[in-house]
Amino acid sequence: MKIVIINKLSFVLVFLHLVISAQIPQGQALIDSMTVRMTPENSRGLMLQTNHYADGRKRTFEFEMFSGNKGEKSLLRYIKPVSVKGQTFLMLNDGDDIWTYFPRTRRVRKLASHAKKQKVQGSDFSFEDFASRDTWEADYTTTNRGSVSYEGVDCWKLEALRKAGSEEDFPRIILFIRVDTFYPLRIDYYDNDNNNEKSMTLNEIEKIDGFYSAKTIIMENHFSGSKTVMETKTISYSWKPPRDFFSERNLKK
Amino acid sequence: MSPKPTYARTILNFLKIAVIFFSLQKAQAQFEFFGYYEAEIDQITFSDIDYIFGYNKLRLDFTSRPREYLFLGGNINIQKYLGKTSWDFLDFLPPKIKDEFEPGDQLILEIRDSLYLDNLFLRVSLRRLDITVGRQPISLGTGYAWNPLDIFNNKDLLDPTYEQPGINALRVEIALAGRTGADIIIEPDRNWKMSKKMVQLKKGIGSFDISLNWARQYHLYPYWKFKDMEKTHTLTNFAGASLVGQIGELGLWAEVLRSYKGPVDYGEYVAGLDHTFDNGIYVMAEYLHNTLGVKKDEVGFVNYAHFFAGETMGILENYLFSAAQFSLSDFLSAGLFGFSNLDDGSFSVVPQIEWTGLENMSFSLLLSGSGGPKNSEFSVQGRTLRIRYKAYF
Repeated sequence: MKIVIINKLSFVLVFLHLVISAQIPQGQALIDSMTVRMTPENSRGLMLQTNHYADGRKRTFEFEMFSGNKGEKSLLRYIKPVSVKGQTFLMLNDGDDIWTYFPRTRRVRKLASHAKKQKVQGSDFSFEDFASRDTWEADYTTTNRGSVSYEGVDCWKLEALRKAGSEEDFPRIILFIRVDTFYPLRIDYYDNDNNNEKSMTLNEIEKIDGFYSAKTIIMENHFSGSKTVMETKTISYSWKPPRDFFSERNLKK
Repeated sequence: MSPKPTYARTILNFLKIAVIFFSLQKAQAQFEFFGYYEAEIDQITFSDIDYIFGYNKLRLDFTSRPREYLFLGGNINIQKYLGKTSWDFLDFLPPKIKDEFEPGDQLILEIRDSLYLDNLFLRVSLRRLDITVGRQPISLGTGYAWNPLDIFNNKDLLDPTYEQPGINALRVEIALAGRTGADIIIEPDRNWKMSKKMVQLKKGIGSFDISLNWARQYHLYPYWKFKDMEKTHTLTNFAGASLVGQIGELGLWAEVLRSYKGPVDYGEYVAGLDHTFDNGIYVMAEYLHNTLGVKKDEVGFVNYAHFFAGETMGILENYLFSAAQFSLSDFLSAGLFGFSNLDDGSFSVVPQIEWTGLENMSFSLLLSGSGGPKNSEFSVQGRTLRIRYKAYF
């Protein structure tokens, strides 16, 4: 219910902004609306992760993903393949604190935050990609570059430039977000030499439990030639985590 | 070391396992079976003689969750050795230590094929309580190469993350508010006094996890002489603590265990740092200070015997373990680790690669070379080549 209210409120705010300014919406207002759409209070899903390597090989993983407190907490538990079965990752404080659990040894190991840049099971997603930290306003200055057609859909093209002092990896990010729903369709990440290092595309968008949700997310690394396809098998945004669900105790279950 | 299974013992073991499964199937428990096959072959060379040995191992895991609050887990290991299976313990000693023995003396260690129930445990999860009973994996502490707090296991420096054998124990884990918890572990022995006990209080503060530990066990002190085999087990109390967290971009951890009210009070201290660079290279270093170790000029056979019995973490006092790991490609990772005795200047350097190009399989190659002054701890270890293949099912 809280999320729905926030959703409606953000629409109203953007609408009011458009009326008052009588011009195209500003980048930050659009980012705020997008962020609200992409961060439900809680979620629980079953995901299929397919790593497509540069040499043409691919490998598929299946994992359960739980997210709480608007992505501030998350838990990933791998189910397949058997070599990683039961391996679990707990991320708190937007991925600043990460614990891993190895079922055969029942060992829990805390990783320092530098590990959040590491690839998760060899994919093109890092731990910090799983943490939905909303740092756009603090780390980037976002400008609306106007409306464009992206794959036949009317989108706002936003350019986010890293602020001085920010520790974010990418100095420039280009986003294409739908004009009607503010849901992103594509995000391009540029490196320090302004090369498009990787791109995330969001496909098969459906409304589930009142939230727009991409059933397939593809992260493509243009440097290595690899890509990772993340497919949602099941997802629920109405799930409520039991008390202390995101804890070391639950990591070991 | 498990005794050599005779036919009768093997049949008995199978019968025991069959009875357990039958009982559980009767209780309509749904089982999941998985595991791995592992083959390893090693060649070691020391004193200009090379030896080949290895094993074939099958680990079969089974788990069941008959109720939301019940979990049953276990595994059976079958291990068949190859190559050299009979070792003279004295061959692993520096010449100076070996001189304590008469020519022709031997301390033979036989490694035998084994079939055993490594783990079999039942966990009951209540609202704020997890109770685990049975033979179970236990792993304590924040250290990588050494874990003074883990009084239940011993680690191998060549393979510190390898699974440990199960421990017969009762474990009660209590979840308190927030990131606070208590952990009680009892490993029963012939009577309550002889049983190992540990209590651990854990608390998360900011990006740090902290624990305070207390333990009591019968501990073998290094007083015994080999010839008359007089051992001194003494009831020992321990107090300990651990922390893991980070300062800036550096991960750090520390672990300490100190005995008190014993005939010789001692301490084991571990501290480590790690970092992952933007290019993915991971580096770490860990230091051990062990006051139960001796000065390099005082070392004798008794200290080696004590170390190999797992009663002390090092023969001398100060050790360093360091490692670097990085990916060479999507399926090939490389590592370089080493450990050194900071007191006698001996060391081992161990490069290794691991290939995971086929799903659910891994293939690793490890080399080790050692050096240092004559009669030093690691200098006698020669060279090792280890090839390991693992297939999960």
